[in-house]
Amino acid sequence: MAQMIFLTRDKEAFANHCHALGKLILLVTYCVLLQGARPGLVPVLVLPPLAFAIWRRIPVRSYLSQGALFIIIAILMAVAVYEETGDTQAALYEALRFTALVLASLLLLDCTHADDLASALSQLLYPIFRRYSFLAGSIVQLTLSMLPLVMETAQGVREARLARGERMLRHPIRSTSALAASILMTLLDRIEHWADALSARLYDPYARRPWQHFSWRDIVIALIICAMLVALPWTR
Amino acid sequence: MDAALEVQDLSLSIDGKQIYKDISFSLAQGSFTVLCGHNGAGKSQLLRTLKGLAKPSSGRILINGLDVTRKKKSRLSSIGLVFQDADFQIVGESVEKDVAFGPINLGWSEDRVDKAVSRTLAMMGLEDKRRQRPQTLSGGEKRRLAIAGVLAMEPGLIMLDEPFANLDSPSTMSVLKALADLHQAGQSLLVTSHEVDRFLAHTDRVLILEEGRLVYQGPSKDSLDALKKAGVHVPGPAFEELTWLR
Repeated sequence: MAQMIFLTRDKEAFANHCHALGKLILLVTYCVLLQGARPGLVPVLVLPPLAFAIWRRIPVRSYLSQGALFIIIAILMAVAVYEETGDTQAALYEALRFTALVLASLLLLDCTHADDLASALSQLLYPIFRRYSFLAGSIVQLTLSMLPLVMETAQGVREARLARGERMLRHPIRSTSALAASILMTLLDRIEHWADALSARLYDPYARRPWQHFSWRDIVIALIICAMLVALPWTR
Repeated sequence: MDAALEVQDLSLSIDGKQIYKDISFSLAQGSFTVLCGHNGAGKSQLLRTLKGLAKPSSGRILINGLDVTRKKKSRLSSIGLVFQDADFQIVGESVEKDVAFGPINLGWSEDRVDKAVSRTLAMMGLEDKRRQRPQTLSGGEKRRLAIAGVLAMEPGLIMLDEPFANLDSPSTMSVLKALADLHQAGQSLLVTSHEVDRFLAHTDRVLILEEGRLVYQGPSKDSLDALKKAGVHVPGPAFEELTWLR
């Protein structure tokens, strides 16, 4: 799943060249719009990210196979809403709302590098927090870079234990705690090497990273954001 | 001309355990030196200390005649270290971003960073991979990317910890060719390895470390007996044959 979430596809496409800050604000505005929209409008609001996903030709099969967790969450949400209200349509709309939010977030990551997102965050915070905005950007960048490492380590340790005959279900508590300890120890070792690699290349979390430049494409993004903000009261 | 690196009576102890003791040697500008020794001899720790990632217990480190023992930042910027496992060293999302990581941290201008990235990727034969994710590269390409990342920072000396470990024959040759080209271009290199039969013919000088002590240092051509004595596998009798680049 980490591979899917953090896989940015480099394309000579409009979305890839837009400023990360604009795309981030666009996503937040869309989420606010979708979250507050009345149920009947949800199927309509799902269409833009869906159309964009088709236009970008996202690898559907890999997204579906690796995003099983999100699908399970969507189903659980639908079941919970149905249990509470007894309304099938409302349950379906809630699942659809969640799916659209996940899809929109994945689309942002599909066309935006994690370090561009981090630098966009420092650019946003810079007028208030000055040099601490670079620290905030660095924390986001390091966290996003570390997540695949954590997932990879966890998978490696789990497979190594399974390969040596461990049956998780036989002693679930003991196995889980032992697995967590192994993952933690391996992870600490890898993070130590990673920290060395960062030091070796003079990484300074307070250093100013290059900011992306705004272009005419960002005007289009700004117009879409304005349109969504204007439409906001009518969707409630 | 001052030595690219001079080490005087360098020692390191960690938690009371002596890792290496009284190491002294110097590396000439543009030289290619190999540091040999068994596993646990202290090679990797010595490189980490020289780079500035570990603090020596005693001794001095001089770069171009300047004492930088207490100047960690000077060592970090003027000495490059390529780790044994390239995966630990690669931090960028794409090949070009990884190479640009060090120069950006040095505070270079965007234009200078771009030039450094293009130049080093061309030198390492990775120009056509610049937009690729590092995880999709082969073992040899990853190793060359790790070298490119260090080279882009324009260090006076590049140290490589076991650069041929876990590489197949074509990958070994691609890395070896990159090192031979760097040496030809006048780059000072210090390589740790026990697989000297792959590249000894390209080196100028050999250092042998045994249980934390430097037991031999001399020209590579005269080192065959010392290497055999130290238990390093040297297959052929002719020095010129000790290369995989043919």
